[in-house]
Amino acid sequence: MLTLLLTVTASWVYADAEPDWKSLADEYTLKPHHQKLKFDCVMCHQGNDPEEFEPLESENCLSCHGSAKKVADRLQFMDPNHTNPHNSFHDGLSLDCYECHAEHEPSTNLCADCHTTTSWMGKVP
Amino acid sequence: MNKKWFIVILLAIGGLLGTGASLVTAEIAHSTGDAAFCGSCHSMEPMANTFKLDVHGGNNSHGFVAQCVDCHLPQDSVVSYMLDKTKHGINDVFVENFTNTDEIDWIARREERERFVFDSGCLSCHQELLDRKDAENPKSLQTHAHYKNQLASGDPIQCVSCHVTVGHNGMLRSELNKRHPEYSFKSK
Repeated sequence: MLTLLLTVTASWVYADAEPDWKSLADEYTLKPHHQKLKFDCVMCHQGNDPEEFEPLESENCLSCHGSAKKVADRLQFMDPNHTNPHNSFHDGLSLDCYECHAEHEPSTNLCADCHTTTSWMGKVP
Repeated sequence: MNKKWFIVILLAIGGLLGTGASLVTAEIAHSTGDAAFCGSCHSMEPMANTFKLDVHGGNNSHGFVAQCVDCHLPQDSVVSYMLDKTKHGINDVFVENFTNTDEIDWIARREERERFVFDSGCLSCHQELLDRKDAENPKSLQTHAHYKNQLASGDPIQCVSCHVTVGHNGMLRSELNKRHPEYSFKSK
């Protein structure tokens, strides 16, 4: 009976305990521009259990970054040559952020799958 | 004239001169802080042009227009405001007239925004922003709470750490690219 009581109590206590965000931040490194903002995991993810964190959707990114149009407008100088990745000839404003950008691993360049982008695009942040 | 009247007249003249000098200084400070003045220098034209596109620069339904110095000078005290204005004034006159400002990498310099945009400026207008309980975008409540926590813990971030394009409508990079293109766009 005592063991059962201790088990239930312990699970209840640890379920509400906050994880060590700093060690998690070392394990799941952020991109430098986000790291600089000193975000904890819960700035993007829901809940206290990292095992339960869901991958994000583009709409989660846009809750801070505004809208697909706002993001595209910041690269408006690339529009005349149709090289704005956020407003491309192929996808317009509808490209999913995660086609290129990744937070906990290196980002990729979708355009570079078919094009040589060295003269019209920098490194994907 | 006895000594007492001499001191009274001296104080009156000193007071008048001091008041006059203060008024002239205030007038100069007031008339050298807006986009019309700052944008009259060649190097600041892109900044002034994009400021006018921004909600802070008049692109709003209320007709409100901020001044460049509202954000780019500290607003926490008159002393720090005047010291920074004097320092930047001397620097800017020298750099604009005696160096080639086209050689400055203005696009890269945007990364130093935390050095030349002051939270005291943002918060002198947005006074109750950090204490709001509801917002059109609920995410802003979370991020502004984070700002307050960082400030309280002695490890602050700044408004422009997140609001990276504020004041220039997200167009400054594109405007600067008109003078110095980042990419050659050679098709392959």
